[in-house]
Amino acid sequence: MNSKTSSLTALVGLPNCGKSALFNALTGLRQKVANYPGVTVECVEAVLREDLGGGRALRMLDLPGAYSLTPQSEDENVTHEILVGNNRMGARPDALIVVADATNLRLHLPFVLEIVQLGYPVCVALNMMDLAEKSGMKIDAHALAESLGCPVVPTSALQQQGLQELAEKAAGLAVSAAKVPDDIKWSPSSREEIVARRKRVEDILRRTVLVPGTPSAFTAKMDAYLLHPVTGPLILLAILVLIFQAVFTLGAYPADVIDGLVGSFATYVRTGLPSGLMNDLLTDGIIAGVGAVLVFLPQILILFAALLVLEDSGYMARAAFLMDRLMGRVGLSGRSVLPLISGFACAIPAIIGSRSIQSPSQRIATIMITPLMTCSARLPVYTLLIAAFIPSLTIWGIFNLQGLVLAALYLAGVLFAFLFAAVLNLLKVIEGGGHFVLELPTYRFPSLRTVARGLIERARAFLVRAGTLILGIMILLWAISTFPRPPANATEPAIHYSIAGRLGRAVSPVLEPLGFNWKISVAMIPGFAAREVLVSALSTVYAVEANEDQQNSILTNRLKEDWSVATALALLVWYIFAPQCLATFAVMQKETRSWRWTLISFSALLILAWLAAFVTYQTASRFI
Amino acid sequence: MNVMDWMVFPVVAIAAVVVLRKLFEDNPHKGCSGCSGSSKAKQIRTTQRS
Repeated sequence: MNSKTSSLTALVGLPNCGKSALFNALTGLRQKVANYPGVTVECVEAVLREDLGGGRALRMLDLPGAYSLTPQSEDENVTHEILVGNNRMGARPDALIVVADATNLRLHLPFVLEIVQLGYPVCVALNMMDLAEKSGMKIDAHALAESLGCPVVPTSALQQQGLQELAEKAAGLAVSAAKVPDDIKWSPSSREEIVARRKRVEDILRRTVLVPGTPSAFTAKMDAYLLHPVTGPLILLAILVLIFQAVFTLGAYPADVIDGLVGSFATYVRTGLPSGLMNDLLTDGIIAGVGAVLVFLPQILILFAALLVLEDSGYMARAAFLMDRLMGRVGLSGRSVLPLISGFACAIPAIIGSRSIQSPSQRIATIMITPLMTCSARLPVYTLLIAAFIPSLTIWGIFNLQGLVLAALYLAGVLFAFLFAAVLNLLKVIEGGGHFVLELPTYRFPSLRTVARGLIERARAFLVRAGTLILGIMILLWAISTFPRPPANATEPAIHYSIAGRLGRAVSPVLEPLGFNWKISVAMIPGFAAREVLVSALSTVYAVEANEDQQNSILTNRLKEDWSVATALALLVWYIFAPQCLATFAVMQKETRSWRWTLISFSALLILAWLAAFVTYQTASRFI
Repeated sequence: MNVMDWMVFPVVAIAAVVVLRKLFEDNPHKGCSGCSGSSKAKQIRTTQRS
């Protein structure tokens, strides 16, 4: 769709004022939203109206949040370039919707005034009106519109209020005679201009805020404990341990059901189809491989549900605040915490999210340590090995040992990320502290719609991935585990003579000191495409190798027969460090624009993985 | 080998194409279980500038 046949309206405003939530509510899309600043770091565009009249469409652009037009970080630079830059990033918007948080107008209005001065056709969305009203606040929107010289629409993206009117105003701006000046004049505000703007804001507030709101007493009470230097970190730790307990205890039942269904389906296909290559491909390759990953969907969804609830409730911003002091000791700041926490889901959006970090060296250091945060793709690997080798004991009457081990693996990732950052700090890679200012949002009950949408989106993405990349890799792995066929006088299992068998034995000398047999080596090779592929690959390799007695044995039992506990522990430790997700490093290279840092991070993590797994195996095999 | 068994070879060839396309596609994290951006939205690339 080109700009001549469509009109472009951009959403701008401070971070965490609800731009993406409004964008989603207006366009019906599912752009990521969360209750903390800096979630959107690149522009996202969608069609708001197919036909404005005359065949013109109305497109909407969601811009990253910015505190002013003077950029301090990469994501603010995107907004700066599009609104007042030299147009290298794409078309200039035809109109703007400036989103302001109604509960915090004193902070938001200076940016609104700066935008209004540019000369764009503008409409202000007074968002989060539901929260403002709840706090007892009364705002005269008409008086505000008069003061600003542009239309003001009270909205609540979460409660779906004022959206129709806002969409009408956006369409009105697009078809109005008002046009963007050809030459947008902007220069960084001088100190006098900033002071004058602040004075004008105070004047506007006096005339438009009829009744000021009262701060949430609940938020103040909660923060007294949650941000306390002693109780705060303890509560954070307790929340993390609880999440991993839930992953194991709650996730076990639906996982068992899926496991049973996959097993029954495999038996049905195996007995229903004539034996031969197609039967083997379907049962050993596709059902065993893809099924092995699908079993972990409930656990992954429980983890995501917990993260989404923490994000939406406003707690995640507190977690960043709590970690700021600790991050300062290794040369980073709390600004790095939010991208790192999102690394628990996936390292890739976390690396992209680091654009909100102002200091370039802190940003590179954050990117380099992000792969150590335990992403959701590691969860199937950890869960499989823990279920097979760690007994399900109850500790102190309440904790499950398997859940505690899982929590320990996550914490180990965080700990080594700190150590890695400390080394980078010692080597003077990280320069310039910079300040960390973070708005702490009011606590709110998580939006069920946001959490449900997030979970559906992630479940869909997981299933698509299982049905495309993982399915494809499993078919290829089955093929290289099956061909060439064994000779007539074969004495070993068929897989021994296959390409995979030979490949596994070739790699084996490097991995043998870690206690990894050739089957683990084979499974690790496709595991570089994505970490969870290891689980599918192990399932396929053991299914191809299985004799008739072993065909109905589940994967955990086969692993228990074939591996020592020391091998399992070494593999768990390997996965804390192993850089086994090539997409992560492709994005790292794009974001840092440096092969040097990408290769340093990849090599360091690979060497660390080998050394840590070696020490674990050698130590554990002596004592266990 | 019967006809059904011969069918595994085109299946393997298609799988190879799917895997290669997935590994080399422009947006490698699309469809990743941890990423949540909508597939309908157009991500404007902002990392390529000088």
